[in-house]
Amino acid sequence: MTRASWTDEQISAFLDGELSQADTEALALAVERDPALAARVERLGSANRAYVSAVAAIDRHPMSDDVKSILSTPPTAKVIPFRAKVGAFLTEHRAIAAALVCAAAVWSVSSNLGAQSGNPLSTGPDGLVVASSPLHRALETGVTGAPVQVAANVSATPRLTFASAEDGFCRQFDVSSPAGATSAIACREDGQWRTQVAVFGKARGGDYQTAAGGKSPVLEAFIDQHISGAPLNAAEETKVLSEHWKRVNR
Amino acid sequence: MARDRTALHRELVGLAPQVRRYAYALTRNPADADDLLQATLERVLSKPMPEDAELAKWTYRVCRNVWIDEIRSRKVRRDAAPEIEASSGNEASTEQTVAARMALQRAQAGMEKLPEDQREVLAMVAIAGLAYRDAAEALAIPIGTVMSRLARARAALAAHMEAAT
Repeated sequence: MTRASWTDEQISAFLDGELSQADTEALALAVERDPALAARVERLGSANRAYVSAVAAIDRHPMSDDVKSILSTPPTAKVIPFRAKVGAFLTEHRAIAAALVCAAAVWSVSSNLGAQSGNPLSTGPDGLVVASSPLHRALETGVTGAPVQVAANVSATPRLTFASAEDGFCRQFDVSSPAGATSAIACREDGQWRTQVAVFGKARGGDYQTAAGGKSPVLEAFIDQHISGAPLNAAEETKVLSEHWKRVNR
Repeated sequence: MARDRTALHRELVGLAPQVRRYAYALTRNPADADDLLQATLERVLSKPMPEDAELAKWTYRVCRNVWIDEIRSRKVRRDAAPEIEASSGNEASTEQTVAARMALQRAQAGMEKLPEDQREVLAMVAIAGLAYRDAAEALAIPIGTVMSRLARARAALAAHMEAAT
């Protein structure tokens, strides 16, 4: 196929992979034979690369707090006002919960819990905690405050149990290992536990590394939005565990 | 447990960095880009999405509409704000980083000079990654117009880069 001249429109479409197969092959052949045409292709391609790099510069600019907040807080249909009792509980436990902060990392960390083959925390799509996993057992039967070993050197500890506004139950729990600590919330629905949010901190010298101030706004925001009533006390939790998470009016 | 909305939220978290770039390509200002991204995310999360719509395409479309309807008028702040630095400023000013910074500034200046219609279609194709057909549909213009605007935008950027060196 020969062409007297190739237009900038065609060269631009070539760069975008939008030319027909025949024209793509013809232009590629022409570029090999015609240095002037090759220079035109390179000129537009170079301009495009510079443009993409210029736009990507936004990546180095800190994201606004409002955007971070949206990205770190999964939506809910029902917003429950914050309760003082929960705030007090979380304040008490902030010191032991590794907290992080980078909003956009929350979901990736959550999914990474199950990313490694053989990971005892294996999670499936949408944070599903595999029923046969040790973590599922810890959530299903573990008592708040009592560590449950879920793998060698890895333990899961339920930290808070609450009834959700969606007529189920949720548990905040910590998972600690030599590699780091994760604090997460999973909710039970139709007999399955599904991780909703997770925050992560790496271990340093065997100790948990907590973020400045030990705050975990991601978990707090989730609890604020999903809790129904006050968190379960020990007696209520014992009753719920013995009844296999049957939801009754408290 | 509002699983669908949670899944939607998770997908949006994954899309957000690219949508943010698209927003920056439209606004050319970091603060406006985040305002636009915020409004876009809020809109997508709160408004019903057509069942047959792809989330990415839908999100870019919402983003463009919000830009045109709400954010674009904030030209004063946009024009007054500084450009994003090519580096953090803490690293040594080697010849290479100086050159990279200058190239970035030239490209940003070139972006600034593009006519709105060319900037819009370039952002949609080169940043959002939309196919010509989808860009044409989103902008309600023929594919031929998409092609000509893209070619003129790239030629103008090339000319600007050459003139600045």
